[in-house]
Amino acid sequence: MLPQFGIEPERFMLTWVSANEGEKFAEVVKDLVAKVKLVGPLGKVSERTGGELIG
Amino acid sequence: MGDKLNFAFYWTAGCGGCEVATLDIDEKILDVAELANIVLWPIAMDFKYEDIENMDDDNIDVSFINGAIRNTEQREIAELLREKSKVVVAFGACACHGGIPSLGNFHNKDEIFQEAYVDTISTNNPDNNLPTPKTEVAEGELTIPEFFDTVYKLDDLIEVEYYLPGCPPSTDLIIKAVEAIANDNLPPVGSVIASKKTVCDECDREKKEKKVKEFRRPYEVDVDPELCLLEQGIICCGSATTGGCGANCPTVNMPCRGCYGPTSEVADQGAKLLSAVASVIDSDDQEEIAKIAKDILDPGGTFYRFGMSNSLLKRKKLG
Repeated sequence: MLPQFGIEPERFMLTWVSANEGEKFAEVVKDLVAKVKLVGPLGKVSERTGGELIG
Repeated sequence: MGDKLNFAFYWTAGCGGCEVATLDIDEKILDVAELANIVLWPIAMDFKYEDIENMDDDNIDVSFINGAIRNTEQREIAELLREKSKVVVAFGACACHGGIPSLGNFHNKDEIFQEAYVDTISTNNPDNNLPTPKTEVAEGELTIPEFFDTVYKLDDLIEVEYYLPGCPPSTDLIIKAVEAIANDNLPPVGSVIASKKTVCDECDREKKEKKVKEFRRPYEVDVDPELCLLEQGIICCGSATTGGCGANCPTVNMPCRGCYGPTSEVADQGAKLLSAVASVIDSDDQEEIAKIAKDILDPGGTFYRFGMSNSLLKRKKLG
């Protein structure tokens, strides 16, 4: 469904981290943040609707 | 004339079903005529926009507006009716949540024009003529309304006092709304005139454990008339959808499509439905889950069928 909304696959991640895997959790988050920074901001709703609310 | 209320009915981006639903209240329409003067109702009576423009502000007691807003004419008349009305009712799924037209928010203006005026098999348009807001002709300039990239629900543009959801709203709810107006017994501003509970709550089907190995469309299933449709692998939107319809669709073996919109507890109807449907998939195996999920051919259109304008994301990302 996310591609239908034009949302890049880099923005989505599904993974399993146990409560005692603190280091892994930090890595997973750093990794996702780096990927999302590369694709840039998603844009506010007003931007998504063409720069202004109506148009 | 003196003591009567003034009502206006207007139709923007919608199919006209709401107008038919208004007439479907049968002999009660006579009560409406008794109660109110109709000052605008383009489908049924001949009035001019000018008549409305010449009115004083707040001259109309209630404007019932059905349809979403997707072009400049619809925006202009919605704003005009707002200015002239004490109360505006968003009538039907399109005005409340965007409705079917808001599926256009999975595309943009150019894509919609390309499909509608060029690519459709029945279209013969060798010069690729597309609607243009302004055209110069010998006699002067011709204009038509400008089409937006995005389909909006009514309260994205103007303030709305009441919401009467549904595609179309049930005659019972229309009568309830009219009676509330007649008796000056309206609920608090902002109210949705429907149930506070879900469609599942009004559905008499037997609910057991939901475990689904395969999603199927209604025509592919010999439907058990007693059992919950979702348990039969038919995607039914009842669990995240406001009731008030009396669960009409599930009663006749058709799944709920979600036309009454989210309940007050739900922020994003499509996300909630996706979550509900994902939770009934009966598998722990990633590949099998992916295979089962592939049965849902158009998840965006299925889970946001009547409410893209009302979703958190509003539309497909532009550009």
